[in-house]
Amino acid sequence: MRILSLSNVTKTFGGLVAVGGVSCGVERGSVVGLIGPNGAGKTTVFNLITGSIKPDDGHIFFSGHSISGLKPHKVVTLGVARTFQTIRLFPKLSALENVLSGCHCRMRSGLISSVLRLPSQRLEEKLVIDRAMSELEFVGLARLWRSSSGSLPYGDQRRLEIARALATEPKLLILDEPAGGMNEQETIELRKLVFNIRDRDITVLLIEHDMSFVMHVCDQLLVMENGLLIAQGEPQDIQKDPKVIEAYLGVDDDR
Amino acid sequence: MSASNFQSSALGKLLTYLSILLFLSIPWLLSALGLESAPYWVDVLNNIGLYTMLALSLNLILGQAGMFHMGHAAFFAVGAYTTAILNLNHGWSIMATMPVAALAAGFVAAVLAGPIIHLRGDYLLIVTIGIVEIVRIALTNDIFGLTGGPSGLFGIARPSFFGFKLTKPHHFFYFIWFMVILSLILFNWLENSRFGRALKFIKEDAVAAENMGINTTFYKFLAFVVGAAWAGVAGTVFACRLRTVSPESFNFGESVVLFTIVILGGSGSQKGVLLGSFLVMGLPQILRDFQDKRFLIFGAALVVMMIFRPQGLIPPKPARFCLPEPWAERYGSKGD
Amino acid sequence: MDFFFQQLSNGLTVGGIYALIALGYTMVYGVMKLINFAHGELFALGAYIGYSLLVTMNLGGRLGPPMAIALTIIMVASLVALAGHLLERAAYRPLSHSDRLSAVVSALGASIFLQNAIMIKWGAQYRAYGADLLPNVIVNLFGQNVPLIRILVFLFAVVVMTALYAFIHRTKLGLAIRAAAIDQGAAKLMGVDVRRVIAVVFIIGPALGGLAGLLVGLYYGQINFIMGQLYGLKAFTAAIIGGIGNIPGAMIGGLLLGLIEALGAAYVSVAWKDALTFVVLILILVFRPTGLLPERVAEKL
Repeated sequence: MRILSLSNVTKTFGGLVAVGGVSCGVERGSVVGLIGPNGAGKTTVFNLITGSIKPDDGHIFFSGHSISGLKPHKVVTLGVARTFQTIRLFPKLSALENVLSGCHCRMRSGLISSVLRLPSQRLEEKLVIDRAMSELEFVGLARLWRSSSGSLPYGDQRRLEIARALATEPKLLILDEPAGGMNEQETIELRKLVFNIRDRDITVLLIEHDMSFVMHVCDQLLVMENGLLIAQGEPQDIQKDPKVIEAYLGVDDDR
Repeated sequence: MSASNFQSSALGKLLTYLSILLFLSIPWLLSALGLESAPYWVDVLNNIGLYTMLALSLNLILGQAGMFHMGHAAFFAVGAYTTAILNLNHGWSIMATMPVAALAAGFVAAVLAGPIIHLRGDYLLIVTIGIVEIVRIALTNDIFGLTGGPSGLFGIARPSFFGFKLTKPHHFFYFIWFMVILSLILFNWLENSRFGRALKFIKEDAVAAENMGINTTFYKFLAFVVGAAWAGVAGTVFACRLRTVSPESFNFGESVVLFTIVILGGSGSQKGVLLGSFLVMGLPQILRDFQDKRFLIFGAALVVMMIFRPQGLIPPKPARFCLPEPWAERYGSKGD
Repeated sequence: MDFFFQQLSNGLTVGGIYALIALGYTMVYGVMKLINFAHGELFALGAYIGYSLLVTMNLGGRLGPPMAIALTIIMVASLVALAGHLLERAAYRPLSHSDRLSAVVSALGASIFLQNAIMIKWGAQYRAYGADLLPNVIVNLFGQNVPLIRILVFLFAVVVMTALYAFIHRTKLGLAIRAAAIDQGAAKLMGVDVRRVIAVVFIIGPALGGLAGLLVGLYYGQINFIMGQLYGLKAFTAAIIGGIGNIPGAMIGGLLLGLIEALGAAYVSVAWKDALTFVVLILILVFRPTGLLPERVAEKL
């Protein structure tokens, strides 16, 4: 069953076609890689799915809902969470608080119960910290819960962003270059983390330039070039696809 | 948690309560000393208290949500005039007007916030200045025939509690500082809640917050309305303390004073706002001996203070969390 | 028709003055992203220096009006520029790496300081410029009678603005200012001396503001020490309406605001004139959130 499908999604920026009529789908429970050379429009596709920008044309469906044109927070509430290519944590805040930001949309307390400190609000505060700590432990950062996120090493920041996204209880997790800036050891750990996420019945869609990482973790690949989807299929087939080799692997084989 | 840590925090609490007690006995001490100027200084403290209330409500918008709002006097004015009109024209008791003043100020803020909430930093700042000017001009022009024009409204009743009428400065001292303490508690609770955290995330990075599922527009709107409503409550206190309201009490300058208190004190920090109110409202009184030079000195002092403490005098501290078990045992219980 | 023309010419004159002040706001904002709240006070300072030269020292009587006014223009521009430069050194440069709001409060402090300094030096009461400085001549323009001073003030503002525009677009220093306004960091990397740019902006802006103060003195004949607040606020509004950071925007915003005010006072209500300004401001920002000629800003994800 498809959890996410794009049909003829188009976005232009002042005459430049960033995404030109992309149609594709993501199967529930899979790990899908979106690859392509720099400037192919991958991040734009992510921004379109998460609602940061609105498509000019086409439709995006997520588990039965049309989400094209919805505001980002609505999309998150429906079950799509993301990380950013350039890390976008709240650098001054602690790791725990960063994860709490993800918990926000699953909480209920409103203004009145907060200002009056009703028992329901205090109980929820306790539960939410428990929940945030579980996510920190899941990505292996629980011992650093009080560190300010800006002071963490790069690899830890990437994993903290994942923990924060997981705290929104997503059905689909979108990772924008999760291995970017990670060393070899961290990349191997990230692989395990992605499998653990999939085992929680969370579908993963990711952009990544590290080809060995992509080949190891992804069940399906989507290949973009110049705003168009040029190929899709299983990693080993994509590797052999002459169009892909020409457009991407041939150019970028040093990766 | 170590034993010494526990002792120091217990000692700290004791000291806090003692200093609150000491502060609350100031009017009594001053009159016991037989100081002739005692009522004057109590009045200065009352003024500081009123501005603390206002600055705390602005702090929610400016300090916590990070919205550049320089027109808070407008909502203060709506509250004060609501109390004045209900009391003078309809004979309501002062305390009964208070919730209506809050609603009125919140309502005006809600109507205005819709179209302007999306404006970026300095654009919001000039628009809020514009709002305060529009409100002042509307009051001066006797809008709806209710506001009495340039001279305003006078003869507002004094508040009374269970038959006890507040008349002297030290009566108002306890009334106003009770309201200040209430504000401190409520805003503190608000800050450490889901709502307060959402504002903190929006201030740090609104795009990231929106992408984590926080309805940034809604929370900015809510902060604006709640802050405005509390300024309306302060308006009630203002109206019954001076027994008169006039447009000039709510001009751009008053908004600037409140803005300065929040930023100087330490944007987002309640202790900072408290200290900021004492400095901004108290310093010109202490400098009275310099007569016409006091605001010259005050202006220079503001510049110097910002240069040496650009983050404000008492910047906000990181939030503290107590981990529940089993996490506390594994990873330490307290975080600073 | 006659009435309309009078309001129109008055609006353009006042608008020219607003535009001159607005340029100081917009240039400083463009480079430093700082609202120089003390700019209105520099404007008032210009008016008072002009008063000292023309009235207290009676330059007009000694040198004859044309020479006196020429000398006053030079003195006002240079002295207010000096004050602006000192202001930047004392109140803003130490905060160049701090949070923007702390610089705003420093600016407010500087504004309070300057306003009170002016009050202590020149007194709290109104001061009158002599009426005999400029010939009280009515000229016939397009079949309408217009006071000569209106035309002179307006022309003066237009000439100064044209010169500034040429300076910004034709000289190397102007290019540096534009580069620093777009991206200070990148300009620095490209070898632009941003400190120097800031210093220049804090000389030109205050000089123009000071001249506007002199024009107000000549046009209305009287000044007071709090005039900087209202004019500053109006001019800042004009800069925002035009799109802050944008030099032609400030000119357009200033003229537009002058016209709105003059026509609003004539056809809507004098009492609501100032409110009308802000209503227009809000309406413009609701539909164009960054002004008529906006700076370009993109949010990268």
